[in-house]
Amino acid sequence: MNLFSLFRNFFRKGERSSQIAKSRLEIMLKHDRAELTRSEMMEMMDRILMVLRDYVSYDRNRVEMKVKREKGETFLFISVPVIGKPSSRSLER
Amino acid sequence: MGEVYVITSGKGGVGKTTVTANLGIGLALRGSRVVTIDADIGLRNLDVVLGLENRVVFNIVDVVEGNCRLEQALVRDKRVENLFLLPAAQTRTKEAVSPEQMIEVCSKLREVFDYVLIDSPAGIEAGFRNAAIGADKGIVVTTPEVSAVRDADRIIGLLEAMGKGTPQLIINRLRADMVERGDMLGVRDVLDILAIPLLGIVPEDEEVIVATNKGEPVILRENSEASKAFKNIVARLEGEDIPLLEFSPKKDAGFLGKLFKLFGGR
Ligand SMILES: Nc1ncnc2c1ncn2[C@@H]1O[C@H](COP(=O)(O)OP(=O)(O)O)[C@@H](O)[C@H]1O
Ligand SMILES: [Mg+2]
Repeated sequence: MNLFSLFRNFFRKGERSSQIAKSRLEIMLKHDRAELTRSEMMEMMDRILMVLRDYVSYDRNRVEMKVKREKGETFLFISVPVIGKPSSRSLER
Repeated sequence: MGEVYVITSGKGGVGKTTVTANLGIGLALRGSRVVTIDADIGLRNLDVVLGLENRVVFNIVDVVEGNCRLEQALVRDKRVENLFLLPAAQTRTKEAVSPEQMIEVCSKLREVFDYVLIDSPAGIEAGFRNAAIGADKGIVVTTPEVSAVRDADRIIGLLEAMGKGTPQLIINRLRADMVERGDMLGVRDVLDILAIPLLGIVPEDEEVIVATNKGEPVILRENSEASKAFKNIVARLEGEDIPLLEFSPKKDAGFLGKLFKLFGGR
């Protein structure tokens, strides 16, 4: 391999098929591991975020969910980038 | 007391039988007493890959049905000392051997052999469970393809749920040139996703097919990349610390080239 092909790969336009494969797999395995369909998972996330909204404001676009397995157990990880307090706290109604 | 490994994958055709045959020969060449079990009942082919098909007399179903003694069903390898095969039945179905019987066969064999390697059928049902039930540990084989990796993930979960611990991974049929182009999942990608320890990487190698044609597993051929890869896996199984960047994808690739190509991905 030469430097040129390294650069070409780096700056190649469009996504490489291996990256597409990886992101497809990540999504598939989330559902497989959590045993949740796409719509169940979306509904669950919506409901969780609805609760969070009352307490914190967060960057919706960077909310991430992961499902990991360890020693026969399955763990759900949801990461929510917190920006600050919500502008209007519905709790104080 | 020997160790019992199940070689499994979920998806068919990814290299379970090839891995079982090569690891069996490799371990026996290093002096261990090894028995390979073909647990793919009804679709037996470990005997064929090992080139032992003409020596099969009895099979595992004969053993559990009492038609012969366990020792009588073991086929001795013609090239390597201390390597044996317990063949599958070709004309029976998976139900012919019960989980209890499988456990018993495994526990008898582990008393005599250092390694018991079980070649699992594809799938996640009874055939797989039967193959895994008598094992201590799993070796999961995958290719760097979406469906194979997805199925590997299922199998890893099932092995863990069966109490077999976290299995080790073999990535088979890796093409360094395609990883470099960005058209194949790299080792890093697969490990990111499956998150289990890597036992080894086996490149796509025509020699594997030539070897299978002849019934002489590729590990017996001196100068092939796949042979080197299998030898390294065998050494790792025996506790040696062999680095993973073992084979050069192209003869002219420098160290960085190898690193980039193999681990590929992002
Ligand atoms: N590293 C490899 N390079 C080239 N061909 C391979 C390699 N590994 C396996 N094969 C071929 O792939 C096919 C399927 O392999 P096999 O071991 O029978 O898979 P499985 O037991 O998982 O169904 C066989 O034809 C085999 O020769
Ligand atoms: Mg097979």
